[in-house]
Amino acid sequence: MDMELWQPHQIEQDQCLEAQVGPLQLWLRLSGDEIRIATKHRKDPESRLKAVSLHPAPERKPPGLDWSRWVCGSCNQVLLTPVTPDRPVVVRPEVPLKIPPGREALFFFGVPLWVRITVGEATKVQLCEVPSVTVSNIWFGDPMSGDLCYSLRTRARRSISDSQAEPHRAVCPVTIHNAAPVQVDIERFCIHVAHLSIYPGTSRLWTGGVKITFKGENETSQVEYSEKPPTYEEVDKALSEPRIPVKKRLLKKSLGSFGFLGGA
Amino acid sequence: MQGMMAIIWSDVFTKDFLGPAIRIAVLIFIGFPLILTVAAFVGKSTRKKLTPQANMLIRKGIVYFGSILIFLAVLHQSGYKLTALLGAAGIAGIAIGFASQTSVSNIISGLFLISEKPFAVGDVIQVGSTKGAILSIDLLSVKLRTFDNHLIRLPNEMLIKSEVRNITRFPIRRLDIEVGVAYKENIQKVREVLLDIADKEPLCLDEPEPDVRFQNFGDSALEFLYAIWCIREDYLKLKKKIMQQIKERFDEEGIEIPFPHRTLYTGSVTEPFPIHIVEAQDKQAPKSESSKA
Repeated sequence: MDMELWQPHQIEQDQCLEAQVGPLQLWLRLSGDEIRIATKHRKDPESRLKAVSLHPAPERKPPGLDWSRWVCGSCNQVLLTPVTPDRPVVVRPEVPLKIPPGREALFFFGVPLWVRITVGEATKVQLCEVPSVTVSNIWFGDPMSGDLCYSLRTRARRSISDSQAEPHRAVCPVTIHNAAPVQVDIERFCIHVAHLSIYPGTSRLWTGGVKITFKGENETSQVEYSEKPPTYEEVDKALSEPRIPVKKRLLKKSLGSFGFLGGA
Repeated sequence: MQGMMAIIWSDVFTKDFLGPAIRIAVLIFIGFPLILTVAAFVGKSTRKKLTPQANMLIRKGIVYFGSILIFLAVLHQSGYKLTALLGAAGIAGIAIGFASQTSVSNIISGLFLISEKPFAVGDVIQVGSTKGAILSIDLLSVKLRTFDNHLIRLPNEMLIKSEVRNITRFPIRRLDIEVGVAYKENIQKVREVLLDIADKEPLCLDEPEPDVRFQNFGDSALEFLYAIWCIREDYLKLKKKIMQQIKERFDEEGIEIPFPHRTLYTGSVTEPFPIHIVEAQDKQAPKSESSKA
């Protein structure tokens, strides 16, 4: 997998760099002591598979863009880092399925990445984080309490081999173990991706694994976020650490159609 | 020398005006600061466990109660007969009680509101036709700031007796929009268009799912209820955006939002309505024709 995209790049005065991470196109321009950033989300399906590292843009001031400006002094190094979304995500399996008591099922789903833009060499200054895709909101819980999450349009699959590697997504392996005496219907599940690191694999990006132990409809599930890299591919050192470190096992209701959210 | 000092010292303390004066000074200069310290300490230790209003009540209660105790003790030290004072207070209390019924009712209602917690500072509530964000919950009243920036004072007694709608109590809200389309329109198409608008709008939650309900065969239109959910902070933003999107999308899809219709009949056997045709080019006398309406 091409790691050039996630390496530091030098930016010259009055230079404009552009990059593409899946459907997200980025432009960065250094002007005096200001860094200006513009982004655009492409809608064509071919853009999903495209990853282009930072390089000089053909035009110094590409037209039709909405620029945001930061005053950051003399900083001529830019770094793009893939990070997990800033909220939990709700994902549905490709087809709804049931897990009998005592059994477990492994799923893989693509976590859309946010691109963190930092500048500076010795002292890194974080400017912003940009989502690589436009995601919609979903409420996981009941109308009186719950969590605001992102709703993923991609589905959780049982196998990773038949899906293409997308540069703007990191694959998250999720194991759901049914420890209840009754079968569980898997219609959707909620993952707090802020507890996951991002690792570069040989063909795609990965997150750490998640294990959900379902104990019953009215019980809180036990959720374990792995701090070790996944073993489905050879992976390198983590590109980004979890937003929220996991200190202990979390008790959360992560399954269900309209479940209550309990625990930490 | 020591003996003389002892005599003078004991002599001082037996003097009628000096002994009580010193005791009164001690009560005032040590008693009041002590009460304030106790109130502050209790307030600090209960700050996280209680609401700000309950915390304020407890602190004020300690200060007022302690002050009354010190006042009575000072009066007693000064030689006043408290029994006479209490007797007068009893009579005055009856008079004051009649005069302050409303205030006392407001205070007691305020205590109930604080313990029941139907709303908190920052919530948006509606009482009758008054809607606003709560600025403070006080002993006698609740202060609201309306959206056009007026201050409204609602007596607590009124809040206890009225229906109070807490609009922002729960984290998500449903936005209900009544949409009418012409009778000629396809119901399924209208439903699909409205659901697609909700699907494409980032502020609209995917779950709870948006709903389109065919409500009624109206006088002039097919009436739908379009129900979409959002987090409470996005309610106004979503309302502004979605109304515009509905209109624009209906225009694109050719879905008519009808004006109110009235069909005219002349009676059970309809006679032709007279119609006058006026030509724009030549301003001749209008031609009269009869035609069925």
